[in-house]
Amino acid sequence: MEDWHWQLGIAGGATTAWVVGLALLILWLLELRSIRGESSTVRRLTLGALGGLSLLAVYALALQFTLVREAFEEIAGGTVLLIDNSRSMTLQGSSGERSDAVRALIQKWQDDDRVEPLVYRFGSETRGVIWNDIADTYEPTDDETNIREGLSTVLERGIEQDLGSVVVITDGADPSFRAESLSLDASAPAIHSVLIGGDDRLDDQAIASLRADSTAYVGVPAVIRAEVRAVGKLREKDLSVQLWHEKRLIQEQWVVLDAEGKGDAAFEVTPKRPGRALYRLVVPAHADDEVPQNNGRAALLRAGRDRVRVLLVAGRPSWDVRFLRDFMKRDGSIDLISFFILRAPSDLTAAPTNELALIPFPTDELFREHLGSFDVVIFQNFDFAPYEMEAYLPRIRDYVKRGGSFLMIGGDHSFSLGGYGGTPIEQVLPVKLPAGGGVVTGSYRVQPNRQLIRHPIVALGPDPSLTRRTWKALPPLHGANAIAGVTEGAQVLLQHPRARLSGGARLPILVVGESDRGRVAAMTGDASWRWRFASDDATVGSDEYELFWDRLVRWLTRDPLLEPARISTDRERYGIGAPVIVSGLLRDERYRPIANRRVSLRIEPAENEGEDTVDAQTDVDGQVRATLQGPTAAGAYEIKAKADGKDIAAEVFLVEESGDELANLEVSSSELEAVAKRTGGRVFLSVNDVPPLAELAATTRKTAGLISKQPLLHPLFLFFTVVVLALTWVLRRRWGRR
Amino acid sequence: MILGSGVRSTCFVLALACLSVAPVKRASAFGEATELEIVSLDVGRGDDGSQSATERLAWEVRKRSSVEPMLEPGRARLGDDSLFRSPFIYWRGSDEFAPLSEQSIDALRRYVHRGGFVLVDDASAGGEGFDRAVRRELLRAFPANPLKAIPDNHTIYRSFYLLSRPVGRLEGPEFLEGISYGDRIAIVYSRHDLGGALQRDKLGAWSQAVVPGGERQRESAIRLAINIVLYALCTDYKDDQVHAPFIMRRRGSGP
Repeated sequence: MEDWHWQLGIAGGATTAWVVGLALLILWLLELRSIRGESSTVRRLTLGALGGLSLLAVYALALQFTLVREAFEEIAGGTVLLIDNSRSMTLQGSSGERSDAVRALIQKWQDDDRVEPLVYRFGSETRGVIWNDIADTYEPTDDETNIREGLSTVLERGIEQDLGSVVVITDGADPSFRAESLSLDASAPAIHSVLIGGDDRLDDQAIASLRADSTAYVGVPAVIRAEVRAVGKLREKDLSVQLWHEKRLIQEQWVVLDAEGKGDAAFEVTPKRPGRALYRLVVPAHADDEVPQNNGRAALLRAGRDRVRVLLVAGRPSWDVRFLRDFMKRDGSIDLISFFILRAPSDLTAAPTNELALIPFPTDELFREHLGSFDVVIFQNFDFAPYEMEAYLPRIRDYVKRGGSFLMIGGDHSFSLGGYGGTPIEQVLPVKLPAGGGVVTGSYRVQPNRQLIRHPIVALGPDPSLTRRTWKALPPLHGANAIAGVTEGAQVLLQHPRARLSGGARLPILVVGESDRGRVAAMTGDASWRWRFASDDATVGSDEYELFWDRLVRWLTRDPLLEPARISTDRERYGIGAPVIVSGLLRDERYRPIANRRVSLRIEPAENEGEDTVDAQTDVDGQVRATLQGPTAAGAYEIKAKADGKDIAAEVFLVEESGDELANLEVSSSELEAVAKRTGGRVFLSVNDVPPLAELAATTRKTAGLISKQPLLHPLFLFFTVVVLALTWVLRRRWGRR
Repeated sequence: MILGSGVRSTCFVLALACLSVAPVKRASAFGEATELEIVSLDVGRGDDGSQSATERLAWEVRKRSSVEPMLEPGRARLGDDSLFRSPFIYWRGSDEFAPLSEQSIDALRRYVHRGGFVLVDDASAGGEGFDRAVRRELLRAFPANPLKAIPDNHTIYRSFYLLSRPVGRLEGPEFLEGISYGDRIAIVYSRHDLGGALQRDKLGAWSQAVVPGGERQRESAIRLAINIVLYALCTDYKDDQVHAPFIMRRRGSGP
């Protein structure tokens, strides 16, 4: 009865009860006074007692005494299993693989059908799985252990699921996890943890982290730093770190570990040529090292030049040369070597050599010794014949075909007028040269090719309309070299408004193209400086001039930002078999979005033919996003996007046997114990100590409503009241009272 | 100024000799619009001899270097669009002049800002009027960039010829002055009457005697003028590392 309590049912509650009680008391006293004259004491006592009793019975009925009790019901609360899906769960301990222990535990729990929990796997992300399938499908592959993210996810979902308890199954190898990072209030479910490997002390040396400049520069030292760590009995032993490049051991360092078993190693490497260079850091495995997989990590350096090296050779000083050189000298990203022919063989200087500041044209030095060091070679109104350069022309052609860039700018020493027809230079130029030379004279405003208006070199405005307007407003040029046509695949970006080729097409002023691995451009005019130097504030194009030349140089040197299509991966390094998320912007060679098209993404070198290509759909802007299954062997890989059977973009990434996931394998129970303490959970350091799941599952108590009783409305009490009232009335009548 | 007949005839013969050996150069294939035009500045004081000087300078530049100047350069005024016909202006004067209009000052400022080069040549033979007026107007146009002496190791003294000091028709001060704009000198001020040393009459004889050094000094003046033109076209090109060892060697072994 301790849960029951009384309530008054009379309207007005206690106040009415008092008023009615006093009124009935007064009535009873009046009754006693009225029978005071009764001679018989028996009669007087009987009538007084019956009157009081009947008034008391009526009073009790009027008060409507009610007994009330709150009812509850016990409901079995939801139980969630949160299972670590990171690769560290595949490690082999002295008692077997951690993932086997998980499977065994789950099978044991599945045998007991009292509880059917919701199951989530956590790692790089948290996702639900089916309870009955988990033992068969559990293959931990994630490259990350993120306990906080996993717990936060199930706690958020648990609000709707009447979550009673959470059981986390993990190795606890998440050094970033902190108990206070979780939002746990009084209603939080009990959070239990089963620490796999918690009773299995690990002996391990590892490269815990690796940092390297993602972009390095040729000739400039780059630093690769590694943090190494040892646990278990290997903590007491110093270790060596080796740096490997192209299967050669190039450096080695001994690292003295501190009290926590940590140490650092730093290696300086100097890339000798542009391109990608793969370096590997290796800690030679100790005989007692239980996890040799985390002893090696890789760094991919993209070696470029800190500045684009440009060789500018001008046949004579001119304003076109002066303005272009000034621009490139001011541009901090360009390392300019310029050579101008100040005196032609036919000039009369009227001075002996020692009174001249002229130097011999260092043809051999420029075009034999150092040609390969330049990213771009520019011939600006330069003819080769007077300087005995014929022997160097094949070298320039080969330099371009190997990946160098070449630009010829017009003038009376350029193209056919410079005698380049039929030379190796013509073989790489994007234009065909007429046999007889020729020029187009007169003033004209160049027009951008409508088909290629989005090409970054000529896209001077934010959209095609403004680009056209900008070109229309720029000051006119004067004269251009005649050409016979453009080579296959070349792109005409700027055109003469009136002059035509023999086939009827407009005379190209700027043509760009590719010659094997190199990029080439032909600018047939020689007065682009006019865009920079004009009186009219409305038309002068100082900014446009610099933007145009900046873009042209960057396009020639394959600046990734100017490529029509580019893709990137969500990370630079992955673990074995980890999914690779690829996204990018795909445009065709005219810089138009490859919209709403199927493109294929392929990882190279391929592991399994036919299984390594994923088809993806671009959106209306040419954006693409897809997830590919990552390679299962460590190494450097390239992912290529292919459209219409042609590779249009590529990106490189690394697959590491170790990675961050295997860098810190020490089982840490302290934070999970703190969580358990806050929520009333338990922590088990050994699988053998774990009780049946039903014991860890919780119930919740819910209010089922109120239960009430009115005992005075019992028929016996009503009968008793009627009997007393009737007896009182009968006796009063018989004894002569009203 | 009148030259002696002997001097005049000698110059004439030399000029003919130069003409006879000068190569026949290809006329500018693209037309004159892209050539170097050494425009003389018309400040409204009639024929100040600058037209003759620019024509002779253009000729000397064409004869001695690979530069292809326009042989009949035009004139420009500060106040109109003709100023921007060429990035090279030759401003010669000998007398004081009235302050330039604000429009002219603004045009001069824009001209330099957009890449133009100005050679100011004081032909007054030591007079102060033109010098005073030029300094005043340049200070108005470029208050933050005053005229400064150009050191004798500046590129301008080795842009084509190796020169040790500036001279013109007059020996003048041992330095040129200039206004730097960005990485270049945009305005060069000479008080040596460079144009006077270049002028020839219609028969090709030198118009004025050069003092005190005579023809040797005239040759030095022509070389300086050519150096200034080459500097305007090449700016600090000769400071590029590729030239340094050669020039250092020649400086050490030069006369």
